[in-house]
Amino acid sequence: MKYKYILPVMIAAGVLFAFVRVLQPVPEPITEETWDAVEKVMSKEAWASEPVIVHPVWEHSAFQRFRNHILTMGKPTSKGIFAYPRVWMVIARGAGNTGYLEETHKLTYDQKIGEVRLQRWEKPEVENLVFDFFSNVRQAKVRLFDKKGKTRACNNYRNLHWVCPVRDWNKVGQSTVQVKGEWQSAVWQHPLAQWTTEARFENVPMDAFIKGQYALADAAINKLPRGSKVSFRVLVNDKVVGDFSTANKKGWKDFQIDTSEFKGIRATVLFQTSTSRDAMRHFCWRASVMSDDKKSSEKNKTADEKADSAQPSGEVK
Amino acid sequence: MLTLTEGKGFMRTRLAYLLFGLLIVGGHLAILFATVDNMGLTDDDDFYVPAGVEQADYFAKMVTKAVKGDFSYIDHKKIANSFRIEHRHPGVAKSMMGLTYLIFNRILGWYDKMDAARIGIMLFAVWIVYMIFRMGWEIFGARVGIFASLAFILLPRSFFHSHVGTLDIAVTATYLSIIYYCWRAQRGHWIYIILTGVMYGVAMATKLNAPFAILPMLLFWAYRWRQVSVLGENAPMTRKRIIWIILSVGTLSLPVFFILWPWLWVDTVDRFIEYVRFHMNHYGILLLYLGDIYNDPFAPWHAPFVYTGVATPFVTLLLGLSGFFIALRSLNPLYLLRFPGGLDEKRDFALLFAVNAFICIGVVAFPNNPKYGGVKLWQPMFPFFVLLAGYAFDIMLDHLGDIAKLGERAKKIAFPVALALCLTPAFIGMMRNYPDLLTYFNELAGNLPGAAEMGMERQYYDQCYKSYIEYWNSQEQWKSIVVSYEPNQHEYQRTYPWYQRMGKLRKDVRFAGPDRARFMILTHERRWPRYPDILQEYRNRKEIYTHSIWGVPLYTIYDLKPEEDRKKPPKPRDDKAVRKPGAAIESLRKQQTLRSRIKDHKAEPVKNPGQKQAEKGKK
Repeated sequence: MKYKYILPVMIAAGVLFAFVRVLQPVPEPITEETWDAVEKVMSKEAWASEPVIVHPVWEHSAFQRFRNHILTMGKPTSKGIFAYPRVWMVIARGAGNTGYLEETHKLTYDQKIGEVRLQRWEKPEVENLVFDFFSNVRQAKVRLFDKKGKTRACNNYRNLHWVCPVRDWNKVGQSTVQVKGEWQSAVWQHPLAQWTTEARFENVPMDAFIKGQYALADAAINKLPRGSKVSFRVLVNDKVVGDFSTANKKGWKDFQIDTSEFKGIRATVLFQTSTSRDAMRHFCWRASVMSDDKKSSEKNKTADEKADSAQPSGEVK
Repeated sequence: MLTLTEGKGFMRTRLAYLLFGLLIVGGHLAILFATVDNMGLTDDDDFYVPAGVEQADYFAKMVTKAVKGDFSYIDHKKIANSFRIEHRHPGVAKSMMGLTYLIFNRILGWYDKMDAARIGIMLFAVWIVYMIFRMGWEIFGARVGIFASLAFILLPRSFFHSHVGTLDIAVTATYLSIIYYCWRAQRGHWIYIILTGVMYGVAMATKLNAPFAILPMLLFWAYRWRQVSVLGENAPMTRKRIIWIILSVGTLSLPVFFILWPWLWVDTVDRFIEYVRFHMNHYGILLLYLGDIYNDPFAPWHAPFVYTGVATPFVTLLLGLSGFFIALRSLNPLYLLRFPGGLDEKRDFALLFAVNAFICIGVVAFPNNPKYGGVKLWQPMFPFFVLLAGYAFDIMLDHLGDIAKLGERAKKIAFPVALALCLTPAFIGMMRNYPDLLTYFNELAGNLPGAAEMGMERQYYDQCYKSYIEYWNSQEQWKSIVVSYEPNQHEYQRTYPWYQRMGKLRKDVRFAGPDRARFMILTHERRWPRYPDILQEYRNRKEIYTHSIWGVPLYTIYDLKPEEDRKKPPKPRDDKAVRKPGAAIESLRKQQTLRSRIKDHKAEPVKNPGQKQAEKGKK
């Protein structure tokens, strides 16, 4: 007889639960006052171009906030966001799982502001970050040049990319690409045969080394497994400091370039890509200027604070 | 079994059966017709409807000629020409769409092309409800028939798919028909034995999911075979009948499959191999599942189960799962060996439905297949699932009656009350998402807001929005509206023009790239890897409209060039001017007058394209 209770009780509970949930009202948006207060804190505490993750994903009122930051609604679909040394998170009512950053970052700031929580998550190496090229790709000057010295400027900025004039797929900018099965954010810099594609970052505060990664997107290797190699060069003040070449293998290739000879100065950093045959050469990279110790980073910070206003907006301050 | 209440007169039961059947099936048909205009077109409508029209044309011509003894249409070239748009999938659903298009558009002229073709799919949906009602009532009793058919109608996503010009609801109907005729064939007229075989062929010629119906059928016949050994004459069907049904399926299905798909009439072997090979290596399609994007590799095996768990109304889900597990009791080897208690048709068919439900979702979940499009790929599971829900609902009512010691009268009242209580949340949920029912998520997921936050797709299928059409139709202040539709303009620029052709969307809304567009429509589809980048790029632009359901934005319209409103009203487009010669001359006159006022101006007046074309023509 007892088992006869199971089904009616379970269904009655289910019906009650369903009524309560289905009649729940449309959630109220976060108030303007709260957003203003959050932005005020962020303006003091955050660096420009740092990612801000907003939970819940549907909090539409966040769209026009954090204008100088990379806004991510909900858990990032691009794993590239997890590569950032510092990530901010705004948590409002209705948020689901927000603990996923624990695997890569450490919570260093947590404050309740109005009806939301503002959190800052940091990686250990954040102390050493001096300049991030991916975040500042909009400040770059992009051009094409060939061996005869012919130059074409790529000065049409569209959809987060500098579009080059020769072929419309030849562009440089922030992209989301699939690398070794994971969606990642990186600088897309598809090379063009007979030309060198160059991204030029001026006035970059230099320090001990430039650290980064480069890769061919998975699609490039799947569709053309024997495609041409892409030559990837890094120059500081016109001196070649890194010269790499891609193999047709999936996954990121790490690089670290010693730039200690430029430490403490502001320099022009160039990233150049070229190839003999450009079919399916979906090349992308990301890189940062890093100091080798906390002290030098602090030093840089002081120097930067004194620097003129022409510095790139995404620079660490 | 044909009973409403035990012990009542046959006529009264028969009348109730007809009345409820007519009410539910007729009501469903009326609702489908009434809502067709609100169910946005999808990328599949744009693809399969023209293919269906093409195929129906072919059939009409071929049959007309063949009747006169002219078989010239069974020809390599003519078949190739008639199956240009789509020949990756078999033809039943498409031919049905083409047929209803011919009847309701070309002959009767009652509906526009798209809606007329969609009626074909709506008829399949009505057929599903009819079969659910009949099987539910006749196998399990009136309460199950009524509950299961209403529960199916109130599955929000299936309701949406019941309008879409594609194959999923069609294969749901034909798959269910196999089981329906299999059930009818076990005792009924010999025609049902033939129909089982024919229907298996029809289902094969609808979509690739259908042939998998053979697995539960074989298990069922093995089960029945065993029953003959144990129950002897009390068994529900004889072994001879089982063999006849198997023979019918084995001999009739393949010929029917080939007859219904003219694409295979020539180069049969090569084309059949190509068909199988295409589906064995189906390209990946993006899916957002628990916050991660899947394409290659495909989503994990559990994605279909979780999507079903959050996209089926909660009470129906609870009842369906209860019914499923109750049905699995029959797999107990001791039961299968002895069948203690004799014949129990309810139990037998509950097991058959449970196995079918599992196979329908399992063939998508377990092989290394692309999984995408919410719950659309395993739609054939849902009729079995609601029947199992009805089965559990019936058991629940029995248990409730026993516990509460309800009298006959109280039992009669308990049924409609329980029916209303169990299905009302589904109805409310459906209405709160209407008409964008692909955004439906159940109470367990926290409805749409909870599911979106969980990282599930809040929309897919490149669905057009009724609200989008209404929005532009109401914006009289703008003329010649140029829009860019991200992240997947490629599909939307093919589907929305259908509304213009049907006269539902104003004609001056057209698509262009983001650099040339005045407005950007951003659908918040996170499965597109580019979505975060696009949101980042455009979110600071002037937002003029956001369509939200339950506070969750589905798409936002940005004005990329609000400064254009401050400029002079735009001149009519040159191509329009060409169509009106007087207007073209007028605009040239104005240009010349303006230029003559500029001192030292020696350049040639700017020519409009029409003038250039005229000059080319002279040359």
